[in-house]
Amino acid sequence: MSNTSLWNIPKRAETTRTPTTALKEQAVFLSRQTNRLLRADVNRLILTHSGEVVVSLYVVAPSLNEYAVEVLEVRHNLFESYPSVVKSSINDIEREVFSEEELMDVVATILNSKEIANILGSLLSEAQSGNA
Amino acid sequence: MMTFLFWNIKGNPVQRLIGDIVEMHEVDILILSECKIDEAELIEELNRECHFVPPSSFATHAKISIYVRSCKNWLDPLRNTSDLSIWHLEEPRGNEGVLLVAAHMPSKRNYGDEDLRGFAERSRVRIEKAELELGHKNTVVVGDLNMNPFDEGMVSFYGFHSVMDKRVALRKRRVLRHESRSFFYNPMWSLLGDESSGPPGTFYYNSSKSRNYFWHMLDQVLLRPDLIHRFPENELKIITETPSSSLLKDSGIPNSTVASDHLPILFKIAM
Repeated sequence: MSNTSLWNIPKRAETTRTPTTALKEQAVFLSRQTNRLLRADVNRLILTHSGEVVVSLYVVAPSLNEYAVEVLEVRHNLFESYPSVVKSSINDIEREVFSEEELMDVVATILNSKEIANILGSLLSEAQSGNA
Repeated sequence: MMTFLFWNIKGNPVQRLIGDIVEMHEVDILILSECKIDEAELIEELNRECHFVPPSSFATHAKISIYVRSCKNWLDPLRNTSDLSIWHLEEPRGNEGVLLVAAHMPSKRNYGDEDLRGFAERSRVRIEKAELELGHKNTVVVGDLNMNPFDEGMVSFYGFHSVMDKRVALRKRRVLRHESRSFFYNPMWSLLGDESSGPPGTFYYNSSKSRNYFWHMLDQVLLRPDLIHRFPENELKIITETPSSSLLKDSGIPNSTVASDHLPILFKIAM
């Protein structure tokens, strides 16, 4: 039996942060900013047959029976995070991005949009009226 | 019995036609895609005999609009994703209810076959997740799936896994390579072609490609086996006319000028 490992494992710094990681970091802010009336969930689907990963960012209203609305999704190949495609049906945006920086630019455009603000406002009003 | 109508109206101002069809067929749940009609105008047309409302003030979808008769307003929103609007239709008498999945899948014109397979797989996974959360599989999927019943995303084990034969669907599941997956029953197969009552499909497109079907059945309804016994097959229809208008040109293809390039589909479920 050989005592020498033949694996070439990349050092942590060499690995690319995935869109999932980047979106999870953003997700944390929503709950804090809305006093936990809303939260953001990141859901990752690994579609083994299609060879695709679909990462969805949802806004969830816990007091509205956990109603969830998908704000955006990021699709990429199973084995590499970039290029990936960012899509938001709410904003009618679909863009291919080649880096985390480009991804977060598009995410910023989507999350800062009037359409998303309207959805958040609507959910917050409903959630707050339930708490009144 | 609850009556459902789905129509992709392609952004056209067809509120009067919608009102006519809803009134004529006593529709209870109206599902529209690509609706750009002002909500107040549409509700005015719908409320000729009965009060229709959107089922939720906050659960709106970019591509799919739903209206229900307010006296039967039992729809609870569960989840909205890019292609699906998922609702729980409560039933009286403490029954489990129905999982209603309204869909508008991405278009074949914009995506290749591989992407479409991926979209179907992703939708199937999301539907299964909702079924797991609710604890039942009384699921009906309806909408513009942008696929024909025979396309891979519709029939594949990894996609919707839908079949044309009720007897096969009633076996409930199939195992493939150690994975077990539920069937959907697709009654739209029975409406394909000339020998079916009504038009051969819901959408007509004369392609310049070598493979040209001309007629497509893009607007479909799928049912889990648990709902098959509550689905009267003879009530499934492709709507082609109202009391005052035809939705077809003289040639028999959908009239996109006065109506839409898609035809509406109507079906019922016993509740």
